[in-house]
Amino acid sequence: MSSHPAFHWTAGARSALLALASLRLTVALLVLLAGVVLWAQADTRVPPWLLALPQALLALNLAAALATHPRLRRGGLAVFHIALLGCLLLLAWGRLTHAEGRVELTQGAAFDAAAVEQLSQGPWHGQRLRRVQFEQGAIEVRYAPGLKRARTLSQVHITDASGTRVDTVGDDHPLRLQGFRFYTTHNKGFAPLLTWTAPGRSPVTGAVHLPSYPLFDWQQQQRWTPPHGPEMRLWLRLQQPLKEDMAWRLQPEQVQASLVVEVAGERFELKPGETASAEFGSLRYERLLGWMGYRIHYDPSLAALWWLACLGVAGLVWHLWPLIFGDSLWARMAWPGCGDGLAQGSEGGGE
Amino acid sequence: MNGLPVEVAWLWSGCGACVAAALRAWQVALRPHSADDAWGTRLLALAVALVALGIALRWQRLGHGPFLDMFEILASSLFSLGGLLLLAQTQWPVLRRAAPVSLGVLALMALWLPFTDPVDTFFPPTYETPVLWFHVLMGKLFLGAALAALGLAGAQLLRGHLRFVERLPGPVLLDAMAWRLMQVALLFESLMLIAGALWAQDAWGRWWAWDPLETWAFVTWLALVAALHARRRWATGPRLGALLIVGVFVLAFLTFFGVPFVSVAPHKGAV
Repeated sequence: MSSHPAFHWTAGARSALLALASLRLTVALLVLLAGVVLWAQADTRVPPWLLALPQALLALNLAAALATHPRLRRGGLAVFHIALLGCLLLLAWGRLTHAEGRVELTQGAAFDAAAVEQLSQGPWHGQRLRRVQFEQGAIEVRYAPGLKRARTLSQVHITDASGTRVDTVGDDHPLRLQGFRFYTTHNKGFAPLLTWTAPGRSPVTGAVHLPSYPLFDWQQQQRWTPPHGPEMRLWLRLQQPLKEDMAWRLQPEQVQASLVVEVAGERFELKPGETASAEFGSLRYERLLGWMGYRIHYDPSLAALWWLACLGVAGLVWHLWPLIFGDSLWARMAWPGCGDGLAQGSEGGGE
Repeated sequence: MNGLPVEVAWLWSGCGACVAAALRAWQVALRPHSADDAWGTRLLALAVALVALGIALRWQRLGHGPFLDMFEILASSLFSLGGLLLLAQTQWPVLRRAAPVSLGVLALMALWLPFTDPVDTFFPPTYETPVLWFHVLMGKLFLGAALAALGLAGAQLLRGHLRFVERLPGPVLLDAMAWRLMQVALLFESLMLIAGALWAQDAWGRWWAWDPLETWAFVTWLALVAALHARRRWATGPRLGALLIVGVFVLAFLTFFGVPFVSVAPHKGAV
């Protein structure tokens, strides 16, 4: 007797689905994922797709199991597994749309998306960062004795349709704009504000970022070539040396420092407001400012991922609650009943 | 005057009491005809109280809880795991009979503590969040449940070798009890990972960065989930089930105490 081709296809698809839903495959994929994770920990050259592959296969395995095993579609177990599948899908979406970057911002300067150094970006991210607008305000970083960084307070001025407001961000309080989160980092330092005038040209004002402070307190120097001018060597001479054994606050604009400039074989030591002039042009040291390094994070899946993870745990609680509190097993863990009388107990282990 | 020696003295006394509790449990277990004995539990209660006092004195002096280096992690774990074990033994006395292995693990930590550096630690601003408390609490509950399960699994593996196991439930029931505890451990580990991700997002701008502790905690979670599924798929017997629990606990122990041991802070580089 011959059967209909559609039946063969359906039977074939069903057996493939059952094979994909196999619990044996689940265990194998979990072990594989653990192995790849440990491999990636030991060797940073492991490509990201190798981490993504077992997760994608686990998602397929889970979806197939949900489709073929009615027990998984009931009660807390269903909530847990569906939430887990949702988390895996959200993870994929998050990677496709995410963005990571970093930027250094000078006090008084507006955020410029073009200055952001992209660390990673998903193919579906687009150009959302261009919509972000804010201006860097005052910076204060508090240090405990022993040069241990305590609170970071970074003021930002945000202008939107409702006007301009000032927010103080730092540590665990990021700046949130247009879905992006800007986190202050340990990376911050001094930025002398300079006005440069090349011979026969208009003055240009800008800041030069010196290396991170106090991480590189012994190396507060920078090479800089101004527009239409010769290369210069700048370094900052701080009036007060770093005192490591006491608490202090880094407020760059309040630091007393002179700027030493070496250019075209000449050396100048400038205080704020002073100018070095020669054939090369003129350089005025306006005042000392600070710069703050930010880490930028964008992942639209975050909130959904959080709620879905909580939902999954709630499902697990729902599933485990009767096993933990409504079961005679725990009652048998009391003294009299758990002895020899139950030594050959026959309670199964399949929860 | 530095208050360090006083708190260290209390902590070390607690360690001594913990080791004494483990020795007592083993002494009773190794007797040919052992009877129920309350001294192990009493010594454990004393150990928890002494460690709590040491932690409180240090907390008062430094102004922050024991979250940062190996000395503090071991001290807080001795307190929390000892306390949880004590509580569980009171609620489910069968765990008292199965205590030698779990108390042995606590004794190992108690012997380790005096060899760690009790240097003053600095509390970073990123730690000043209630999420840290929840994250740590979930971690302790996870390890506490796994430790209690390890006690039962350890007894399972000693069946036929030591007489004290005969006074415990039979292998199938003991296996079922141990795996219930591992299911509870899975719940708390899941919550620990979620709370940790929430904390990391606000503190360091990334909810997951595969730092050594995150990686090992996730591998432990995978191992536990894999063990639960393997047990269901292949209906592993009590002995293999016990070995799986020991394997998962070893991974968890490495995560909690191995990774901070080889790195400067619990979350290396994230402080």
